[in-house]
Amino acid sequence: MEKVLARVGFKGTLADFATFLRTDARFYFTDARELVREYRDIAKRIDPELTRLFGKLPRLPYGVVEIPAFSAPSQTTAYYRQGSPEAHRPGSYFVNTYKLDTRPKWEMEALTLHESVPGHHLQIAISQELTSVPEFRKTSRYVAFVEGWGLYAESLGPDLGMYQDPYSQFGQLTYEMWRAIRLVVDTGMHALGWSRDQAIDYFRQNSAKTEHDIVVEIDRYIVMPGQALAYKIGELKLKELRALASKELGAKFDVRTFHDAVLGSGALPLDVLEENVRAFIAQQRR
Amino acid sequence: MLALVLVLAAATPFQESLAELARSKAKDPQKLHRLFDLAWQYDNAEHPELATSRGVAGYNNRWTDESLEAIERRKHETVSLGQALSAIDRRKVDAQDQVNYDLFRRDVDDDLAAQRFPRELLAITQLAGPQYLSSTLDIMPARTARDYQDIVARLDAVPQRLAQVEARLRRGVETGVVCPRVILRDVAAQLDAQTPEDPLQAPLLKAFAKLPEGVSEEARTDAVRIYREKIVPAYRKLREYFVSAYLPHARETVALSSASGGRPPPRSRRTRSTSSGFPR
Repeated sequence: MEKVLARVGFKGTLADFATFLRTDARFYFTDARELVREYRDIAKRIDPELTRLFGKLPRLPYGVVEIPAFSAPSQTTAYYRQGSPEAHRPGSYFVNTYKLDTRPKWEMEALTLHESVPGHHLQIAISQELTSVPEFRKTSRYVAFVEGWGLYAESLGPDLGMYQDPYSQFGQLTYEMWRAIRLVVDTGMHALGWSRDQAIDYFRQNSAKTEHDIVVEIDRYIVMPGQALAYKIGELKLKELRALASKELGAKFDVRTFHDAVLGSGALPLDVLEENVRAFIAQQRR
Repeated sequence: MLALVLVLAAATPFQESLAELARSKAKDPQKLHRLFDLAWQYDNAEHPELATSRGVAGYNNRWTDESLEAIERRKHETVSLGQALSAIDRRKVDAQDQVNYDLFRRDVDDDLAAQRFPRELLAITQLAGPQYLSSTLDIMPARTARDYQDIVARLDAVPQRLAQVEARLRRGVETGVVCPRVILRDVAAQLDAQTPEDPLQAPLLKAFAKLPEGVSEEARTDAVRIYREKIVPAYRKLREYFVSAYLPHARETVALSSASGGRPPPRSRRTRSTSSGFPR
């Protein structure tokens, strides 16, 4: 994070930089339609780059839509709703246009990588289109796998032409930090007796996320205990398995076949995923 | 009392099917796949909103029965499902099916573990509950007259669903399993937003703003009548209960351990897979 500060020539502390990112008008749209258009633009810029990292892509398309007004104030910045190949329904990447001064441009690339492609839409649609597994496995949603994949997808940005802008790069780091913060505040509130205010303060002190976002987030952890832990835990496992495959296979390592192997059995518990990746490594060695 | 005991002891249709499978002479691999099929059909039939989300046809005209009795019945049926799986010999299926077997086992065991905590009593939060019924209507097919019959059938059953929510909240108050007050601050407004003055502005009636060709005006007339006569009063009643009776009993603490007698409840597979979407 400090390297990015140096890169943009910012004079001040990380906390000052966070304040700057939260408040400077240049980072915010004033028209909801422009915000949605920019999300679509990012998504469409990622789409063609996917062939660099994946052998198999889903057939089902996805769209970018606004979160319904009645729920937007309580909702997070975005979420994904699965489509259905059987019902001819596309996937949907929902984006929040409530309070535009809390929706910074620098988070839009990381967010889009997570929710649409190569994040949730790509993973979930591939799983729905599997043909060699019983029905219940096509809709499996082991949270550490699904959300770990979403966070891992954010880290693929540089290979997909994202994070060229230093503020977007900082956005990615902020997003990663935010999932680490979840490990602290979720366990803090639910297991260690932290108050809601303590959790909000800790979050504010350690990230550039906007105030409204932080409060909505903390309230979400209150009603979904443990869910927020899945992101970082799943991502760490995926990165560990990729490093293992890369080390074991050396020049034979191909990122496309690795990703196909990770996604090709649908969502899995992490221990079963690890068995699969080890089998993949053994098979590639032959 | 005797009658009640007899009712509980009688096998449900799903339990009958499981028993029939156990008696069959089929080989273990066939039995395993028959069990997967039975459980899949059961899951869709018991959770029609999930079926809609998955795009499985045939269940779009109803909601999940969320009465306390139905929730209790499903808990017993999950126990039977676990027993039916145990009766199949894992060693007699091939390696691929052993993986399927183990994943299925894990899902059932998660659901069983979740039964330790009556999560269903936390029937409304800022992120889930009856103010989000429209999210299911949003993804229903809306192309043919038949699709619209399904939508109208679901609209007609909204009041029953809301009554079930209220019953669960009441049980929660009686047993001390309630949500933290702080997260409920937007809920009354969210409930209000379901019943605007103009029926065609209502989130639940979005499909009626513009009818596709081949769908008669009658469908819209029905929907508007159901909305005015049944849905609006039902949401008002629930809101009234929520604000005047439930909120005063909501808790001041936020830790889940304080809602469950100190035991952290396991998350069930069901809870995971019915959440409104995949948040970041």
